[in-house]
Amino acid sequence: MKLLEVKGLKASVEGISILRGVDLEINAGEVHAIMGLNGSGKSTLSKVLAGHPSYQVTGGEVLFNGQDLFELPPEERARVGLFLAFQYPVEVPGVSNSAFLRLAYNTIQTSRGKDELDPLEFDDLVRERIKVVEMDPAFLDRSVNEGFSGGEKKRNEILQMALLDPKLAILDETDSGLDIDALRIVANGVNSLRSEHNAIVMVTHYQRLLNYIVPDFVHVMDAGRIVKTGDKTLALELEERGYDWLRAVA
Amino acid sequence: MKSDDCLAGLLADAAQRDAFSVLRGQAEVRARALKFPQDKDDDWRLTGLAVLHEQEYLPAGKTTQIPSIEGFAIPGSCRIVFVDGFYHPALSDLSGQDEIRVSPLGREEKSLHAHFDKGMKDAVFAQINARNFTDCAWVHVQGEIQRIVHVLHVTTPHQKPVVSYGRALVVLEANARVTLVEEYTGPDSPYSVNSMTEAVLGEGADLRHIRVQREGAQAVHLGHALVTLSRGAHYDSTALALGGRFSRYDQRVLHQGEGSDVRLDGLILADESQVADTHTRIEHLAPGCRSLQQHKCIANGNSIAVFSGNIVVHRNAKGTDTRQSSRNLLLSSKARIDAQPQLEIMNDDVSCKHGATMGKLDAEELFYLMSRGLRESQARKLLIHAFAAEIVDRISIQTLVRSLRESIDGRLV
Ligand SMILES: Nc1ncnc2c1ncn2[C@@H]1O[C@H](COP(=O)(O)OP(=O)(O)OP(=O)(O)O)[C@@H](O)[C@H]1O
Ligand SMILES: [Mg+2]
Repeated sequence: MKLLEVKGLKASVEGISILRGVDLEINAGEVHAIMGLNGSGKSTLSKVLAGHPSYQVTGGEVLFNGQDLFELPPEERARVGLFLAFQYPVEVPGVSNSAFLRLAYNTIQTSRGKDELDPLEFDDLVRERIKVVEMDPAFLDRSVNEGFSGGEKKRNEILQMALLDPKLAILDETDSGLDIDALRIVANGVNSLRSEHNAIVMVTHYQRLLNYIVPDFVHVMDAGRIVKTGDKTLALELEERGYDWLRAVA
Repeated sequence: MKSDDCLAGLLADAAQRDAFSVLRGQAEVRARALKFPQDKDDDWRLTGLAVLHEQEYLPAGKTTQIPSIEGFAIPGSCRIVFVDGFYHPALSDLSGQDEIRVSPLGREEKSLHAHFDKGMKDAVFAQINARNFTDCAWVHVQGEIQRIVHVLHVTTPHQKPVVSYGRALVVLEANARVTLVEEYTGPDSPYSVNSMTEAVLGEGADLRHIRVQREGAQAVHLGHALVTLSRGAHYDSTALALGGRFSRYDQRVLHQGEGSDVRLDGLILADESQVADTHTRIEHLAPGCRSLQQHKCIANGNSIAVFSGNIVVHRNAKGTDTRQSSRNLLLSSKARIDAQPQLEIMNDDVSCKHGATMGKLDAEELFYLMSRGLRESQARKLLIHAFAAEIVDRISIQTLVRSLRESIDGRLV
C-alpha cells in the first residue's frame, strides 16, 4: 500500500530554491535510507514534509495515504501519522517533558477517536515505552530537551515516536551524536516499533546504522534531487567510493 | 473631569475620626500640595492617566453583601478579608493568631504609629490612601508565624463605581519570619482600588511577600508597597499583575541596614486593551546589600505593559551587588511593552548587572510542538506558561500556583 508519494517536489527558503524536483515513493512495511552530501537537501525534504513554515513549496505534490499533504497544517500531519525525528531537536525551556509528551499523546489519541489518559495512567505508559530507548525516567521531569546531551535528545525523539505510533517516521540523522551502545539501543528500539503497517525513512551519513536497521531502499540526494536509488548494497558502495562518481553522472 | 476635580473628589470623604485622624490630616495636606499627576509627568507618561478622568468613583460604604471567596482559600492559612475596604470578620479566620490585628486601631496600638506612613510622601495616591483608608490589617511578628497570612481584598458589585482602600502594616521584629499573600479581586463592572502595604523588617527578619492582582476587567487598581530592611534582613517578593483595565503597582524597597538581601520577582500579563504598569525602586542606603530582580511582561491584543525598574545606589552603600533582568514577550503587533531599567549609582564599589530582552514566541519551538500534534493555540499557551513559570513557580503554595495557572489560561483564550 502506498503511504507516501512525492512527485516532482520543489521547495525554497527565503527565495533560494533548495529542493529541485524530488521523487520518492514509500509503501507500508518498507524501510528507506536517504544519504547524501551535507547541504544536499535531506533535512529540507524532511521539514517540508512535516510542514515547517519557513519553507515554501514551489512545485510538485505529495500524497500521504492518498491525501494531499500540503492541505494539512503541521499538527494535522502529525495526527494522520507523520512523524519527524529532528536532526536538531528543539529545546523548550520551562515546558516539562512529561507534560509535553502527555499533551502530544492525548491530542493524537483524541484525533484517532481514542480515550485520553490522565496523568497517572500516562505515567505508567511512558515508563513502559521509555524502556524502548533505555532512557532514565529522570528525563521526564526536566524541560523538553533543555540541557540534554546530543544523544539524549535523540533518544527523546525516539521516545516520542514510540508514544505517538506514527505510520511514517522520518528519522533525520538520529544516529548522529549517539555513542556505539546508544546506537544499538536506539536502533533496536526503532526495530521494535516496525510493522507491516508503518514505514521508516532514515536520513543518515553512516553505514553503521544500516547494519542495525536494514533498509529496503537506499536513495542518494544531491543538489535537491534524488539522483540514485538502490538496495542496501548502495550504502556500502557509497562508503567505499564516496559521492563523486554520482555527482559526475548527475 | 479636570485634575483638580479628581483630587477634590478623592479628598471629599467625611473626615475619619479615629486614632489616625492626625496622620490622616497630614496626609491630606501633602496630597493637596502634590496635586493630581499629569500625563506629562515622568512617573506617568508611559501610560498616561486618561482612565482616571473618565469616571467618578464614590467612596465605598460598608456593604451587607457577603461575597463568595470560594476559589481563593489557601488551606491552613490565616485569612484577613476586606470587602470594599472594610474588614469582614465573618469571612476572615484569625483564630489563635494574636500577632494579627485589624484596625480601626485602639489606643494600645499607638506604638505602631511609629511605623505608619513612613514613605512615598511624593506619591499622591499613596497619600490619598493614608488619608482615606478604612481598615488596616496589621501584622506584628515576633518569632515566626507558621501559617501563611493571607490578606484578601474583594470588591463587590455596585450600581455606581466605587473606590475602596486597602491597607496593611507588617512589622517584623528581629529575626521574625512570615509569609504574606496579598490578593485583589472584584467584579467585571467598573470600580477602583487604592492599596498600600508597608512592611518594616527588623534585624535578620525574613518576609516572603506574594502579591496577586486579579481585579475585574473594568477595574482601576493603584497599588503601593513600601518595604524597609534592617541589618541582615531578607525580603523575597513575587508580584503578579493579571487583572484590571488599568493597573499600577509602585513598589519601593529600602536597604537601610547593612547586608540586607532582596529578591524581587514580577510578572505582568496584559491582554486586549489592558494597561498594566509596575514601577519598582530599590534604594541601597547601606553597605554590603544585595538585590536580585527579575521582571517579565507578556502583552497580547492591543494592551500596554510597562516596567520601570529603578535602582539607586547611594554614596555610602559600598559593596552593593545588584542584578536586574527584564524579559518581555510581545504576543501581538498591536501590543506595546515599555521596559526601562534605570540605574543611579553614586559610588565606585558596586557590582551592577542588568539586562533586558524583548521577544516573540520562538517559531522553532512552536513548530516543534505542532509537529507533535499540538494545535497552534495549545503550543502558544504552553510556551507562554513556560515563560511565566519562572516567576509563578517560585511560589511554593501549590493551591495558589494552580489557581494562578488557571487565571493565566483564562486570560489567553
Ligand atoms: N533557513 C534557511 N536559510 C537559508 N538556507 C537554508 C535554510 N535552510 C536550509 N538552507 C540551505 O539549504 C541547503 C540544504 O540544507 P539541508 O539542511 O536540507 O541539508 P542536509 O542535506 O540536511 O545537510 P546535512 O547532511 O548537513 O544535515 C543548505 O545549503 C542550506 O544551507
Ligand atoms: Mg540535515
